[in-house]
Amino acid sequence: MQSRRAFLANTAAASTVIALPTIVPSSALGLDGNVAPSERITMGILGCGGRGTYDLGIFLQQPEVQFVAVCDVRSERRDAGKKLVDDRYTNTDCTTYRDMFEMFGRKDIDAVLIATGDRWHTLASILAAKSGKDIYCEKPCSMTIGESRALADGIRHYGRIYQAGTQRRNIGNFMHAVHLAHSGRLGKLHTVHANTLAPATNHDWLPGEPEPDRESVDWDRWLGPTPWRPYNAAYVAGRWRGYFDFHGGGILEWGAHTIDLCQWACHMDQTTPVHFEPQGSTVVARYANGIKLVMRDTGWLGMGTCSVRFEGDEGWIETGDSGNMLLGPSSLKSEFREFTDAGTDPTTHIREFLRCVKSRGVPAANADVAAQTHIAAHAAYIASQLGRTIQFDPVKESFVNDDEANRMRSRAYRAPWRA
Amino acid sequence: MFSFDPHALIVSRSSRHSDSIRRVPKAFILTACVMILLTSGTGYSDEVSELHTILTSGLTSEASLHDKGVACRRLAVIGTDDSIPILEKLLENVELSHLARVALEAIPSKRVDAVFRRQLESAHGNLLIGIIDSIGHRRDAEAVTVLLRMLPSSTPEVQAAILYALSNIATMESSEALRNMLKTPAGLSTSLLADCVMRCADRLANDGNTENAIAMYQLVRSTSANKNLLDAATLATIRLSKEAGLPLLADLLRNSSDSQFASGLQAAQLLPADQAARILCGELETASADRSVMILNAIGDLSEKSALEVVKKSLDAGSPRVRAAAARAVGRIGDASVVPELLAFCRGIYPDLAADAFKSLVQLEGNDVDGAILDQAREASNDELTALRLIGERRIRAPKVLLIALSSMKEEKRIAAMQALGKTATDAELDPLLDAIQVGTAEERKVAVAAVASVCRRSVDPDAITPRISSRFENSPLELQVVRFDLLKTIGGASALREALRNAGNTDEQIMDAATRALGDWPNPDVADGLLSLCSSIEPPKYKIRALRAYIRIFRQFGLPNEQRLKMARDAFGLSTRNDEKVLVLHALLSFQNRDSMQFALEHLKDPGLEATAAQVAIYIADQVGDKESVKTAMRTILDSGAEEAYAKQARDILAKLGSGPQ
Repeated sequence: MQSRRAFLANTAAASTVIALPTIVPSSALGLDGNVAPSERITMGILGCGGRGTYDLGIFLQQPEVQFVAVCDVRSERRDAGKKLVDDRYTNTDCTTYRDMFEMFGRKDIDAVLIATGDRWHTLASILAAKSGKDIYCEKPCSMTIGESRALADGIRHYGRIYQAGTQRRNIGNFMHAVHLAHSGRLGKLHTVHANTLAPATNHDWLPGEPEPDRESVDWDRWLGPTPWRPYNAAYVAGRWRGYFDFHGGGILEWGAHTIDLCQWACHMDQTTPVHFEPQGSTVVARYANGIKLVMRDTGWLGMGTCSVRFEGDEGWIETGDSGNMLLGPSSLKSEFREFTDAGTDPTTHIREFLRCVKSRGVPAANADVAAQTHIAAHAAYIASQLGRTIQFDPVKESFVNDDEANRMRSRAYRAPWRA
Repeated sequence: MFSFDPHALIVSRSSRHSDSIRRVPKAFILTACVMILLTSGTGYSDEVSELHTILTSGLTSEASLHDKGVACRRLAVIGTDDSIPILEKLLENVELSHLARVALEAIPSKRVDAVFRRQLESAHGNLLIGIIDSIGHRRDAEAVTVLLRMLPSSTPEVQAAILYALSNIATMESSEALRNMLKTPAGLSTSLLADCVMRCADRLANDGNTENAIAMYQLVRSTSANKNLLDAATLATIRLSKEAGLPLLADLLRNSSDSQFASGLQAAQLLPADQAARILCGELETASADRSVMILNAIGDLSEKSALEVVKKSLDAGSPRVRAAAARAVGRIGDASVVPELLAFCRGIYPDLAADAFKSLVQLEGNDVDGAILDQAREASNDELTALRLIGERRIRAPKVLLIALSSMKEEKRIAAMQALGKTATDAELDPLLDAIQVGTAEERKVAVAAVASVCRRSVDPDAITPRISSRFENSPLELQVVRFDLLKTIGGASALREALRNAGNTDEQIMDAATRALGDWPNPDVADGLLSLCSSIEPPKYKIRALRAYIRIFRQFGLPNEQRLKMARDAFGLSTRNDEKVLVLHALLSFQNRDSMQFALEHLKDPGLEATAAQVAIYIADQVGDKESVKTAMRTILDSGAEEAYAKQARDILAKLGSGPQ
């Protein structure tokens, strides 16, 4: 949905200025000995668009991180990314790449930030893992149920650390809401609600335009595993959302966060609901233990974007990106908390990733967890597309007696790409 | 965004493709659309026939390529055995081969496998690679022999595709073949073969065949495959071996290679926590400082309490970095016994160590930990301030201790007590905090206000505390009146709302100002009726505007039913005397994008000064409206209104996408 905020941003004439710290602590460069070279994490970024640039800015603020490479299929984004990195370190050392394999092939890179469009997330993550890189990848992490499984299997296969960019797993108000659900203060949990957007995508093509030279925009690489279509500058400028081939749709867009939190709250990180029923733009799912998961885009209490609500037989909590929370009944209000890290800032999530890269620990939004969240979201989207109730077997990861739904679980990649 | 309905794919696409690709004969598309519409709901056979017709027509333009692509996607879901020969022909077409695979891969019939196998004889380059990938995806066991036969004479790219397909198929035959090839690679990449053997092993492990899987991982470990794969094979071996993998884990942790050591840490997370912790603890004695830090972090990640005694030794010795790591670890595995040492770190000279120790004191579990901290708060100890802060952070209910601290002669201590009360106090402890607002220093007042606000947010009886708070400020100076209404807003209950509304009409303009500001930021939509009333009654006019803007915020921000939002929008628009507020109302329509809100915007296309905003808003909302006839009518209305060219163009584009001209 076109939000009011986006609308106002689009209609504003003023240019956007990306705020980055202007003072570089010497510790970031290891100059004062605070960050020993052995503790430094060397990184590259794949996909330097709006979100990638935002994430990059936060990674660059982390003292143990040193970015050495920027990869994008668009030359102007490569150059802009390099400038950010070089400005941060006051040198010109950052190398740019059009071809991700060249960057992944660098042995001095420990980890990569992947912030391409959705269509590349799974495949690029697996290819990076194959090259021995740890991965922080933006959400949604997959385009299909099949990709979700391939992601989890691929990361385990190559033994890498993976964190999905579902930062609300590490943001105080959401963590507190989940903690309340786990603590029993809400009583027996019976319904969890995830804020999603209208689940629509389309098969339109934008008008074909002359394809730029490959160094300027590598269109074939931009398309990657998706079906070929004629070039149009709007896609590569960021207007790829809403297209079936490129975008996970509205349920995935926010559900990657909110369904994830609901799964966590229900202790369902290792499984998914078994029953999905579309009701208009809402999908009501049910876990095997009877807990309901309601994915909806309306009826929220003003707690901000990406709201979640957990309801038990003794109380409920609703919270969202505002950081604020509502609790009921009044006897539960003693559990109200204020958080300094509320909002959408992924810093704490990125910190957890970096800690795990060093300790080889398992991040909260690891590939197994992300896979189950995304399988649940894709199943909901398939129910919505089919317009009817479907049953899902989380062990087999297939729909029960539903050939049509099962045939929507994966999509063939365009050769030569394979996960 | 228009909804993706797989039952209407062709209708949707063919009516919306762009000008540049609209070169398919329109009559054909229209016929297809009409037929599909007529047959919807009667099964798929007619639709499938139409899709076949599209696929068998000539490929004359990008438009027809698009149509065929959409048809293939649809056939992926509803295609039948009859679709297979039609799709098979497309496999040979460079532009359509992938799309044909999209459909064929999904069709469960065995005939599809035969088609792919046949194509192995004739396809080349990427087309062949795609076909081999599809065979792998479908795990066609019958293809193993032919794939193995093709392998020696294929290009490296095709060889890679074959090997991955064999690893996906993972039959006894294909697994055995891959293992043998890895033993004697014969020109093939060892790493590629190792990767494929590991994939077979993964599948065996998933199927519960652990012994054979481990053997395959061990085979990989014995090769010269690249280091990433060797590390991954080692991890997998340890994970599957469970207790039997412990010696291997110990070897890794003692290895001089940092990357091997890191693999050991990662492997430790995959084993039963008590056993892994035992191995990690064993390595602590001899490890370097750098490695000790990482081992302690890993022990913390395991949350294994049996490691506590060993970790406690690291609290006492080593560099500040090691002690900080130990402090972090005991936060997750410790008990009350570590409280004194952590408190000592908190007052030490190393800020990082102090911060880690404090975090661990917050994190430690157990009522006895609370007791140990309370003891420090009760005594006039060196740790008194830290203990007071911990009472707050740990949410320990200790009102007596905190109220005593609140009357301390030391401001620092009073402030720490107030902060802790802010996090723990109930309605019963409000009065001392309210006193502090009235009589404290400027800093204390700030902290006390924040603390009272926190208590208000947690209040179980907002209506009961409202008069208690309000009466305290009745005759206070202006700066405290502002505090008073901020607190009422924080409470947000019915009684607080009445109090704020009553004072919005106060004869003292400063009080009126404070009250209306609070109402403008009220935390729930209960304030709406009061604001609407103020819009008509309040004077001077600037407060009317404030109330009106606050009213607009309510229907924009809160998830009210769409009908109610629309009514509120109409009310607000009717009360607006300036275009500034009317523009806000129109923008707020974006918070409930539907046919009615689009219609509301259209009604103001000719209002002086609002033409552009109304057109913009209507166009944006149109994107969300599923009723295409309404959208068409709306876009024509915009064109008829004489809208600016930029908006007129957008309206024409939408009409074109909907397959409709301006008329």
